[in-house]
Amino acid sequence: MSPEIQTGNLTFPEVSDETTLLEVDDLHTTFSTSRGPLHAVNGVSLTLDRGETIGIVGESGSGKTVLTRSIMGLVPREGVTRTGSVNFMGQEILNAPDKSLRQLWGSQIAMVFQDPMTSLNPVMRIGKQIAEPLRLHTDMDGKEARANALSLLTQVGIPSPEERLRAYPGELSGGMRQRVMIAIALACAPRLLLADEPTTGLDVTVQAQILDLLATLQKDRTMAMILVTHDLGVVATRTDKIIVMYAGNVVEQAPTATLFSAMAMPYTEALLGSTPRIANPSHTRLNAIEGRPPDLVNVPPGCPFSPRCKYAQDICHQVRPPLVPAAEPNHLFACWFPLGGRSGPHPPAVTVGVASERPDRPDPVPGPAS
Amino acid sequence: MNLPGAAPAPAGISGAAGNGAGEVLLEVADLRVDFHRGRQTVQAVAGVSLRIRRGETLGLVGESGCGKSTTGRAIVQVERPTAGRINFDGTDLTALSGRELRRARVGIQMIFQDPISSLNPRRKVRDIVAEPLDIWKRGDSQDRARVVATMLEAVGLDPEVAGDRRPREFSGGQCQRISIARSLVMEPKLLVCDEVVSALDVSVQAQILNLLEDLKSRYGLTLLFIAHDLAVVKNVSDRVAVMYLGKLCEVAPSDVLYQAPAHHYTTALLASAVEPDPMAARSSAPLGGEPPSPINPPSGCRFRTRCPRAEQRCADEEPALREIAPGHAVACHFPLVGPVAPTSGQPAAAVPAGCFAPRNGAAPGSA
Repeated sequence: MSPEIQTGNLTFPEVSDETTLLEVDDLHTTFSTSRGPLHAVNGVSLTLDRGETIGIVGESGSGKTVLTRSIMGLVPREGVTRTGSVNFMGQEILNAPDKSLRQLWGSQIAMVFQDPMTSLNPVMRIGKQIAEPLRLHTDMDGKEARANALSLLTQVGIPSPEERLRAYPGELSGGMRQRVMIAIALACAPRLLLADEPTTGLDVTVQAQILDLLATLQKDRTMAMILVTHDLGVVATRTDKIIVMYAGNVVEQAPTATLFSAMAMPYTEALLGSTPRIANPSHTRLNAIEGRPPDLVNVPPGCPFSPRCKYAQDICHQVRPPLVPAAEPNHLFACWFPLGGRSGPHPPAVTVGVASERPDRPDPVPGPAS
Repeated sequence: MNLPGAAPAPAGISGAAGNGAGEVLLEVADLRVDFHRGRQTVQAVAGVSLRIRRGETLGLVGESGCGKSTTGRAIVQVERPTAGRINFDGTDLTALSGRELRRARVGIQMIFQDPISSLNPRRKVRDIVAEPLDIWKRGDSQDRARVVATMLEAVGLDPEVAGDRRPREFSGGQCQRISIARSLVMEPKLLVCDEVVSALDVSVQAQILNLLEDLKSRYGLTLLFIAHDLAVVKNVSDRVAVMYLGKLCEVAPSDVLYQAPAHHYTTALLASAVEPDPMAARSSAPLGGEPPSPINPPSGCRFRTRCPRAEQRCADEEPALREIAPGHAVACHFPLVGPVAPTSGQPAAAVPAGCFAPRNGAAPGSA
């Protein structure tokens, strides 16, 4: 019999043979605003195995941050509706009461936020902030927690950790503060780490150090990770699979290598095309996507990317394409006219009312236009 | 104009631009900017010399705190230099003050990182863009309105729609377009861009980078493009200067710098960069630690404390920026490309890397 960790009214086995750690099914998060409901996350499903890393990419406002917060239960109860299912280690946690979620946060699921300055308490010493989750979630006494905090600071590569324990966040650089955030997140050895833009705003050299650190710690602890970023470069070499989000929807999902070698969704192609690359000669013109993501209160009918998509045809503006499997295993995309000459989902024979207002609509042809 | 007594700028930093080597528009000679914090002095910029030719884009990269923004601000004289000369279009800006300085630097405009906070939230876009014209009393109100409309159109905004709105009604990318329009109404010769795309989403960043390239060719602009993102800098620059702890370590045409970097710091920076390609060799954080404090910089070469190739000589003797190939200059005794720097004074005995002399120790070679 494996010992069990009691967390409020949720019970998690200490050891489990199951490989699936997290299963999110048709998650919707809707904020009620004065202008009407805002669908920040619009039917997202994903599975994450133990020790696996999933990257979530998209522009700001694509719902990637709200998605991770919804999974963790870190969204306000007032004015926010969440439906669907979030199954963590066999337990449904979407509508678990706050009391049991508090047991979960830190000990099982931890989060590293983007801004290490505002996420740390500026008037509490580093050592105390790292020891806090240990005191809360374990039966360590102050001395043990302190010793543990010291070892964590050493693990995240902070020089002279004994001195740093007594430092305040303001005395550390941005990179060092992010290391402290990681140390706090890892204190109770969580099984899942949600890293929301953990390196945005840091220098390239520090970014490489932090990403390496996360990868090493993750491997040592068989910890699963959700890495949220707007930078395709960050996820390219450091994730097992990638989810591309646009306007609250998953528009493409694939194992990392497949996504880059056989992308099907024009939005993914556009994101990649607008990223400057060192490998390209200087003055290479970027394929910028014109326009901006849609207002999530008034998402256009049809494919949400269609107003900016260079391949868009009439049906794209009218009917939202479903997320369908591609030929490659575990590759899903949502596009009527996917890239690479592959065939898209069968468009519905009868389109919604808008079609009648557009008598000149040509029959949709499979494959990208032109 | 040759400045009397000006230290001759190293030949390597005035390399030929990709688009025709014009005359030198901006020459910065031995620029120093010190900040005082209590009794301590921070050398933010510790002797930077560079030249930018007309129509050229010079990229300036480095980690935060290396002094790249201070260099930009000192060129515009927002920060008055502690020492050095800034010769812009035949005038030494450091010798001027008051009205003369303001008049002389009309030809230099600056765009900042945070597009929203650099615009007055209470004014209409039309007035924000027209303000430089109002200050300099250029033309009558009709002329100004026409210039403003042309500029807004040039940056991709509809003057009819955008003109009467206020900055909060615009996204970050659009606010950056407004800042660019404002910087261009005075028809500047030199545009100093300080991290202008680092706060923007990748899609908007691409729009702004393309816009800058278009405006540059349309108005014949010269750009000093300051940024920390190596890929962004490469995309817009003809030549790139790499800065570390207040000094330049390497200057080269961009394709050369990225293909065959000579300085160990440039190599480390490039190895740290992430590329959107799963087949790209995964970086393994080639640089440990963080830059030392500019209050008490290391002796000799400032990068030696993090350099894999550092020897005793690096601690004793500060490497000068020297040309190793036409247009390619490096400040390193033992560059990855080109010959080892000739010793000045007696040769220092080679010791294993990592064994450094104490600061201000025997420094036979330092001038």
